[in-house]
Amino acid sequence: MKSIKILFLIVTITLSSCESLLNKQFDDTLSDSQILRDPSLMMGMQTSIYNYMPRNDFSYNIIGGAMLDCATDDGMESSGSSDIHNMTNGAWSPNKTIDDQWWRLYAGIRKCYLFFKYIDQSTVTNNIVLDANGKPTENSQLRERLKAETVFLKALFYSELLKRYGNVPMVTSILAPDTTKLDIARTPYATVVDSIVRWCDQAAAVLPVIYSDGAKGHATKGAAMMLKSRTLLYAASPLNNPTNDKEKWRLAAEAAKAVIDFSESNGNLYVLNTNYAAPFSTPFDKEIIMPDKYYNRNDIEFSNVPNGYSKGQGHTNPTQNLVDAFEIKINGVYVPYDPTNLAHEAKMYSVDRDPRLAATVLYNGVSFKTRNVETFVGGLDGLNKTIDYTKTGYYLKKFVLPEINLDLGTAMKPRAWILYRYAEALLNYAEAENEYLGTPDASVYQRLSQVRVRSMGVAGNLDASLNWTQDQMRTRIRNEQRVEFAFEEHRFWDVRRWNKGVELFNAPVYGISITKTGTTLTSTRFKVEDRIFSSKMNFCPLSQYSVLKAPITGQTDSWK
Amino acid sequence: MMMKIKNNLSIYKHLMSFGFIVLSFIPSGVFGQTDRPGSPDSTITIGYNVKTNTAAISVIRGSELETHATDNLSNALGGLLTGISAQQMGGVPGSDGSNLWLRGFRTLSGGASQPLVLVDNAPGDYTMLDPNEIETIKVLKDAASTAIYGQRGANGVILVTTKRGKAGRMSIKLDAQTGFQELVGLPTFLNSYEYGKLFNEAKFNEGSPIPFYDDATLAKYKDQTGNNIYTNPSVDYIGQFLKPNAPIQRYSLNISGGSSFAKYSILLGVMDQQGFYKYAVEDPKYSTNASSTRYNMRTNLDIQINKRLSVLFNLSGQIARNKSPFVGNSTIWSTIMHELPNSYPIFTPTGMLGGTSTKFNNPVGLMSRSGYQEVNNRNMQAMLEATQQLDFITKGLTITVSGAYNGFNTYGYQKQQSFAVYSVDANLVQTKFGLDKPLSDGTDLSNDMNYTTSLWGSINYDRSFGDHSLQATVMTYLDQKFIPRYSPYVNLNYGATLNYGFLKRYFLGGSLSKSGNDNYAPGSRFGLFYSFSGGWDVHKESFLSESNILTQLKIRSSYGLVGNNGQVSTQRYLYQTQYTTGEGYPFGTTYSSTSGTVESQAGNPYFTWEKSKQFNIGIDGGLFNKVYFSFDYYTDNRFDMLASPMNKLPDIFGSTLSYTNIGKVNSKGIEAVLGVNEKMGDFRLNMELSATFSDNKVIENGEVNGLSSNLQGIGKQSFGEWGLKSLGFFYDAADIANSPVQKFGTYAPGDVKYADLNHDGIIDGNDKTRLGGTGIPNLFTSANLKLSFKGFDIGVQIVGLFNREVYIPLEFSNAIPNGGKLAVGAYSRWANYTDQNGNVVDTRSTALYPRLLTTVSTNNTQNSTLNIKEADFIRLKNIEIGYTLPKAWMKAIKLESIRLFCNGYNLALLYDQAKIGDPEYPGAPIWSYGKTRILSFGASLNF
Repeated sequence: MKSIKILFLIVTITLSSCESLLNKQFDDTLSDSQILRDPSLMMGMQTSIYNYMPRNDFSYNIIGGAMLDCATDDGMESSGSSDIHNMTNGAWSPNKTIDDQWWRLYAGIRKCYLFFKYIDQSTVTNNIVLDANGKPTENSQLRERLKAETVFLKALFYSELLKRYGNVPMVTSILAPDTTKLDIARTPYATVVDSIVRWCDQAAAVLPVIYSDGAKGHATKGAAMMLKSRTLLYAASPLNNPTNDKEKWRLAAEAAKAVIDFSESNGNLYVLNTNYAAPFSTPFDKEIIMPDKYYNRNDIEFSNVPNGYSKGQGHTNPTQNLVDAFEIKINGVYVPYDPTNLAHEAKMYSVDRDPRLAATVLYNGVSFKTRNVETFVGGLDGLNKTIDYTKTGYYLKKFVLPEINLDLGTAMKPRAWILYRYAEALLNYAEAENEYLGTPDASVYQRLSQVRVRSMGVAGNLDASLNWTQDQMRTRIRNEQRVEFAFEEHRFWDVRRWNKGVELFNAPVYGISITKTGTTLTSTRFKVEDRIFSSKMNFCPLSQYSVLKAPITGQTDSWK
Repeated sequence: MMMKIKNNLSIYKHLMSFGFIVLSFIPSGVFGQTDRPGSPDSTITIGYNVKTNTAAISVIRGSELETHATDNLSNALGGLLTGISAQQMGGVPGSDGSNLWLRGFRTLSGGASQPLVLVDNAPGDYTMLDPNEIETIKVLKDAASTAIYGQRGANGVILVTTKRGKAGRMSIKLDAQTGFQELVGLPTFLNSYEYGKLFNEAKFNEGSPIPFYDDATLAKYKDQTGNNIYTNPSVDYIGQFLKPNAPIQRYSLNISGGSSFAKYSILLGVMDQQGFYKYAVEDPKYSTNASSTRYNMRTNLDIQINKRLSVLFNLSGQIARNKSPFVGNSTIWSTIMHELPNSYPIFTPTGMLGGTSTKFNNPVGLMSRSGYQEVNNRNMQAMLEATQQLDFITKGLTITVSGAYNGFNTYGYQKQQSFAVYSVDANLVQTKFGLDKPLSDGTDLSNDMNYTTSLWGSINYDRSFGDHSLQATVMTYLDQKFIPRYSPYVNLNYGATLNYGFLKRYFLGGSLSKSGNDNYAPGSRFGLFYSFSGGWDVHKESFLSESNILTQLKIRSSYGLVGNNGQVSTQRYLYQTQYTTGEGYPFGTTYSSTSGTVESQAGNPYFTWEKSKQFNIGIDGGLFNKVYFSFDYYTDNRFDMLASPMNKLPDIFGSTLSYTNIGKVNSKGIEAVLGVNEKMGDFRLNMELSATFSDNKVIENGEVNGLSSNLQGIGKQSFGEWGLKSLGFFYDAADIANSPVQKFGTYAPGDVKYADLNHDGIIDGNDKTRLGGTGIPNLFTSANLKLSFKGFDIGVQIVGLFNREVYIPLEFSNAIPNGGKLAVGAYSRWANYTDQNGNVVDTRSTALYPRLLTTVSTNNTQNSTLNIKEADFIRLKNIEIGYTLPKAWMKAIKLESIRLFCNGYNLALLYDQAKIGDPEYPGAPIWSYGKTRILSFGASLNF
């Protein structure tokens, strides 16, 4: 038996050395060590995070072919099968989520933490790089810059989560796939806001003011400041500030003012384009603070050109409600449009309307491409001509480039989804300062007018001598936000944060029916459809599956 | 090990001289009885010279495989080996094998369900071997026999041992058989006239009352004479393009013999299987028919170097060439199964190929003028094994070292050709579409290789001390599979086993293994596996040993832990976070993407193998020395099974994982065998009935908590399709109005009505439930009957598969996805209308299928109990009848023996529950290639 033991020992010892055979002989997968060695792979990790910005490849007609604003009183989606209708017909629920960004935003956050884990051990340099004039370039201290960009993106993802779901769980590391540790409680809204603000400050301190042509599109200092402004504005708004804590408005006004001051002190870094429509088709226009992915595209035109034009699908139909929101110039002064005023009605589509109307809406008789738009009943683009034609009597003009030939299919122009533009900084300031002060001061009139005058000319100017009350001013500012940012995914959230959804979204939307008899046109407003909104819809529901997986995190408060 | 088998064979030696067929009479080792647990001295040798008296093992001899005229050995195992259930999927020459399950399907979706297969203890494939190469196939079923295979043992192990030479004079055996295959289970399609009439009905159902095909047109379809065959063709695709039968043949030559110093066994085999395509080119330079030709060769040598050292050397290879037309078998079968009978005439009046501007799929062209492809596979195995007696250390001690190589190369080659088709109009004017192009220069279709090396060593101790017997083994095993571009796939095992017997009556067994695989995280690659077992030969007790009734009785039981590291997915190293380049983003003013780097797989540091706790209890016995029986009950409780965790992982995780070890499934089953041996003068009978029952229940599968009960997988069987429960067809508009709304597109009376299983008033995807539909039976039974009288012998095998469902393709009914071809099943459609002649057609009370439509109805084509049907069946799987010429005649022709035989495989269905196509896999002709029946005859000569 002793011999057996000896043999056993010999065999065991010999073969124990074989265990190294189980080590990988070479790595046929891309592992973290390769990423650490190769700066371009490391930078690629950062690059890919940008794909998790809110809209990205799917911007514009994202929800079953519809724009998000078709779930507001501004728009109507023409295709009856689009999911967007479920947002306004009461079907929206945990069993029927729409535009559900929950998983995607946390996927973006995970990518941020993966990047943070590796960047400091990577070969991406942190050297000072100077240009010919001896000034540091955007690639100076590249490692710190990439980290700051990532901090900005992380803050952006949280701000989107906050906007959509209210209180949300805070993830602060790369999570292991351990089911028992991933179901965590939600962090209160205010705490998340504090974190976002801190991250924005942190990022803004490092991020470049501007990039060279080859690197444009990376997060800038202005973008971080703008994110802070919007976050604080939302936090101060009635939905999230039910006690109307003025201090929150002060912080919001301050953050917006900081963007304005930053721009003005940097030789007017951001400028409102004198052509309202131009920034949407001019890459990196000086009005744009943060774009979300420029690429050559024609999907905007395919989706929105009126159906009567070749290949046009006419998805987005602005409502009469929106058309009525554009002011009208009477005796040289812009006043709110009044549908009950026959003098106004006679000039519904005249040059006296706020020029932004024509820049936003295609209405009957307006020239578009090679002919005039015909939305009258029976017209080439006529109301309800088939099931996919306009449901309201209007088509979308904003963002749509008539010069793009859809028959070619290959004709494209670079466009991005505009995340932040300078007009928002001005209106954020006007809104917050008005709310903070109680009675608007000259600065409120000044910033509001800045936005108006760009489109309306001097006739749009408002000054302090009007002596508006806070309420009067609020009404004008909110209307200004509506028309200035129509179809830019502002109103969907603005009405919610103002807590005005039950009033504005639980109401019918209207269209215009124009009948043509000879050359006579007769217009009649008509109800397109009723809309359903209840206060729980101020936030988005989580899918029932997500809730079942994480009962502690649970359902969005308003949907419980 | 070899000694053991040789001893066994010596028992049959006198029988063998009467012809090899007698070997096939030995069902599961019953006559020899040394390889069957429960029999006297039933010590079975499994891998690495390990011996056991207590394990659950089924054994057959290679000779039993010879009676099945199939080219693929996997088709013969179901029904011969208790514990194995099988399903043959189709008849493609060269790849018509069966899916096998050992003790049923015991895994979840993520883990591999197939048993480990070893040929002469090395990784290999037995399915392409010639039956004459095989000595035994052993199926190791319980932990007592599989625990030493560690991470790879849980699904059971199939151990194949090849034939070795025996000392004695040279024996030459020549087997030749030739026969033909016939197609079974094809749909019966309607001709153009029948089709046209029903098409009109479909149009009517869609709201167009005017017949699409008027009476004059229909009359022409009916009258296939004169020009009607061109202007209004009615093509019988099956009859016109598939031959009623196709040849198959097999020859093998086996030479063996040797001395006490060296023994040899040499085999040469040829197998040729042809396809059914009628119009294929049979040019000697190249053939476009489907075919498979295989050559098998093997040399097994045993050399006794000296008194203590013996060496085994095997060299074997399989060369296979599989051919098909360029477009591939599935395109041809799909065309035959889907092209409408009235689409175009196959030949135009001038003999050109028919077609239309959009239909270039004339099967004559596909078969003969599309070109061809051929795939050449080369398998080569070599093995060298040495055993040294270590008597000088202590008696009974041996050491064995064995190394093997198994290489695989494949090279596929194709040449393409194209053909023009001609449309024929009412005036017989022909218009040409497409171009005739000659065979192109060839291109590579596939070109790949891999090889596996394996190495094992064992030290065995086998000795008796008075009433005590002891067999102990320590072993180690390593195999590495090398595929170019990838890090090798490595398995490494250490094991030790102990088999102790007292008074040859009481047995104890134990095994322990440490088993590792490269797929897991460093430090977590090895697992410990074990088994304990015991046996009691009750018959040896004094109170039974004199019994004439109970002539054998043994009880055995085992318990152990075994692993399963097989994955369905080929993704490796799931413990490791992996990245890939992708998700670029366009920065700057060029609007082109800057490359990104993304996490493609979140690492799961806990990733490990599936574990199985297996319990087995069995009883083996005999009555009157004639009847024998065996009964096993087992449980297999698995945990750490692979399943998708995404329904458990809260979304804030932010990444995806393919598998984690969250699954739990409990399986259990019963295997029973009852046999009779009878011998009266020259008359011999053996009949054996066997049944394999298996069932399982999901304990945890990773599904989200709180699902409605119909959607829950937990508590149900771990495999099968999901689908809706059909309630028949909507009777009328009132029926629709009174039923829940169905969310699968439009529907009307005559369309399928589904059950609201979650009671929410809406029929949608949430009303699905587990339907079965995987073809795996819970109960697999077989009956084997063998009779011989003087020179005559007959063997009959019947198999029965019960408690199973299969997916019935819509082609057998009427709702064909392309809106086209109709089979006779269409006459069982729902209909309710008055035809042109005022006749009321109302089949509402008898309809088996929904109303006819010319376009696809998504409502009617949902997975449901309408197309996933219970399909139990009993098949007369095989018969062989033989006649061995009288011994007296042999002397004159200097032959040892001659046996003439004929056999049939897949002969008939004795019971068929579904009655649609071939119940084993009805989709075979639709999706790949029809299933075949094989009839063959031959001779076996011993020199």
